[in-house]
Amino acid sequence: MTETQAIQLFKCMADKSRLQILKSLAMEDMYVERLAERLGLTAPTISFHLKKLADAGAVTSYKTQYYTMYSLCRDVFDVTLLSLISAESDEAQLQKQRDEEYRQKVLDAFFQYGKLKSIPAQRKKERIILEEIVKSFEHNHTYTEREVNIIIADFYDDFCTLRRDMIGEGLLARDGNVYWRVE
Amino acid sequence: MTMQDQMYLYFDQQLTTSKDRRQALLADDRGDEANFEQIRTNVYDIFKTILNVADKMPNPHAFFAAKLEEIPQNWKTSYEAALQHQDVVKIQQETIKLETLAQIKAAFAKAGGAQQ
Repeated sequence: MTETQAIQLFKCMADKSRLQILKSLAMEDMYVERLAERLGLTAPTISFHLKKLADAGAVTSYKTQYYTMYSLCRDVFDVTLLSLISAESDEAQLQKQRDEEYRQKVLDAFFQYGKLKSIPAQRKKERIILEEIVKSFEHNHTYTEREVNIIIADFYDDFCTLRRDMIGEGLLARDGNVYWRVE
Repeated sequence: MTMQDQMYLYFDQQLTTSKDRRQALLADDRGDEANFEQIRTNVYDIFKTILNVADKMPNPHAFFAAKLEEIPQNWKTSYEAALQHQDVVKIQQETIKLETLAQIKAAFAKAGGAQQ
């Protein structure tokens, strides 16, 4: 289900009458007049709601000898809410682009000629500059504390603070005097 | 009580009822049905306004009766077209207008307007 389809379905279901129709159809397939009688609504009102539900992909219809029967599209309701919100968003690409633009803006503001001007007060911004500095560490390689200090000192004099913060942010890991970059 | 007085009373009662029903539907999370109720309110409003205008006419009864036939012509055309194209939403909207009109006509007849 796409994000647009999910929104249409949720909007459609945010109505008590339509929810009652779905509950009725969850029990068994029904025709308009039967639903009207069951729910105390007029047949045209039921038809209106069924049209909206059909457009949202929640119900489907089929003809029998005398009536047009409506049934629940059960596969739509088998989808979990978690899988819906975990699915790639239509907006995902745009969000990534915005994130990257923001990241670059922070780097431009705090770095000058490859040196860190100051440590950002905001944790979110500091995380961005730490992520940039950690790129100087190789994967699958261990460093002594002295080596770590030298690498960080290339960026900023207060290497102790940055080293501790990189550990705190989970970008570097340590065991005694040995440090390594976290994957 | 004159025909006009009876009709004003009728419209006021219907408008109050319709507005209350709309609020109740909204409170019950039945937004679309609340919108349909608004259509009913609008029809009552239209004909109450016409009654106001009719009061200033030489023959209020004839004027109002004529408007009861004239105004819904478009609604009927629209209903027929919607029926032809199975436009369920439009069918519902036009049905409500025509149903409300039928009720107003009945009230007008009861108030003695149709005979005068």
